[in-house]
Amino acid sequence: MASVNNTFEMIKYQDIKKPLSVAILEDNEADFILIEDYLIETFKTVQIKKYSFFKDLKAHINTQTNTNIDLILLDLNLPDLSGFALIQQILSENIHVPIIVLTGYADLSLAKESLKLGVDDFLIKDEVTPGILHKSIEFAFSRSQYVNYIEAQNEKLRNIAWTQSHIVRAPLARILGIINFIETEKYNPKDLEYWLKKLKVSSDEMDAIVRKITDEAQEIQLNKYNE
Amino acid sequence: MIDDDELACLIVEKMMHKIDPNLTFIACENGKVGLDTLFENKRDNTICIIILDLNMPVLDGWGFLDVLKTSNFNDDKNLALYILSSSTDKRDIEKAGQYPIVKKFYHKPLSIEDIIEILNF
Repeated sequence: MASVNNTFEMIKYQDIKKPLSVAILEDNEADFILIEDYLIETFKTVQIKKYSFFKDLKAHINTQTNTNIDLILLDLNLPDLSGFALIQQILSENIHVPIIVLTGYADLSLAKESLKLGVDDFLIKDEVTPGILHKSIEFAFSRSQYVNYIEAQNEKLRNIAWTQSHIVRAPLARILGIINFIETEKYNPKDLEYWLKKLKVSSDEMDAIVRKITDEAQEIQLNKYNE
Repeated sequence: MIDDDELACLIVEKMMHKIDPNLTFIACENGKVGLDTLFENKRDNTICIIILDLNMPVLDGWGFLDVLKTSNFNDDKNLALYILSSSTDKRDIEKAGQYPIVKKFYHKPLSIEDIIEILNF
């Protein structure tokens, strides 16, 4: 499939028209203000929402149909949930936006571990600069966009496999069945004419399905993040 | 035989009658019709073979199996159930394995040897 070979085009968040909306999960006011400043400094238009408790973000996600969150910056020590459990909980919300963990040196091993779970990046709070934060966000966007694209493509491929198995094989099995039957029958020209007609119908049906699958397979190409 | 593909039913019917001209063959176009036919016609001592397709309108093969699981046909020694599907999808075959009543999973079409095997259960 030629379309699979297309190169993926990186899209910077700044290329997208709407302002970046960031949810910061952070209970420490000083840390929050610092990150907020960095964001305002490096992104021209940015909306920032602060959540001190995990439950507040969860309530927001569960009540809004459009969460209007493009990115989550996550401190690993919140008053109501922390560490590994916090990461698991937030990932289980399935919000499909990049998540960047902000952590101190104490939680470094956990932060590294979180990458395996599906978090996009982690930053050490004491080392964060506006430039590092900006780069991490851009990178997280490219990566999550790519992952979303691959997942959508996998879904289509699964559908094609299902179609192959269920839809294509139906007329094919009928054709084979008719042939099996003709082989076991004694030759009777009148019957044969009937079965040949049925063979033609099933063959045409299969032809149409194969054409449809080819069209669908060709549709698998890169969907640009163009919301 | 429970299958919405009339032609598939016709071929199996003709092949079965070739092996055993005296058997009664009933074609049912979906799982619902299949259930009705089974409950109407099956008596304790009648030997019944069910050839079940999976993809069907109204009530598909899985739905049929689910109803059968809760009925007293589930451990009827005179009843043999075979799946006959055009699907070669592994997931279907694995799923079918979870129903003890399914004796075997056949891929369409049935050969004359398959039919002999089924009739000699």
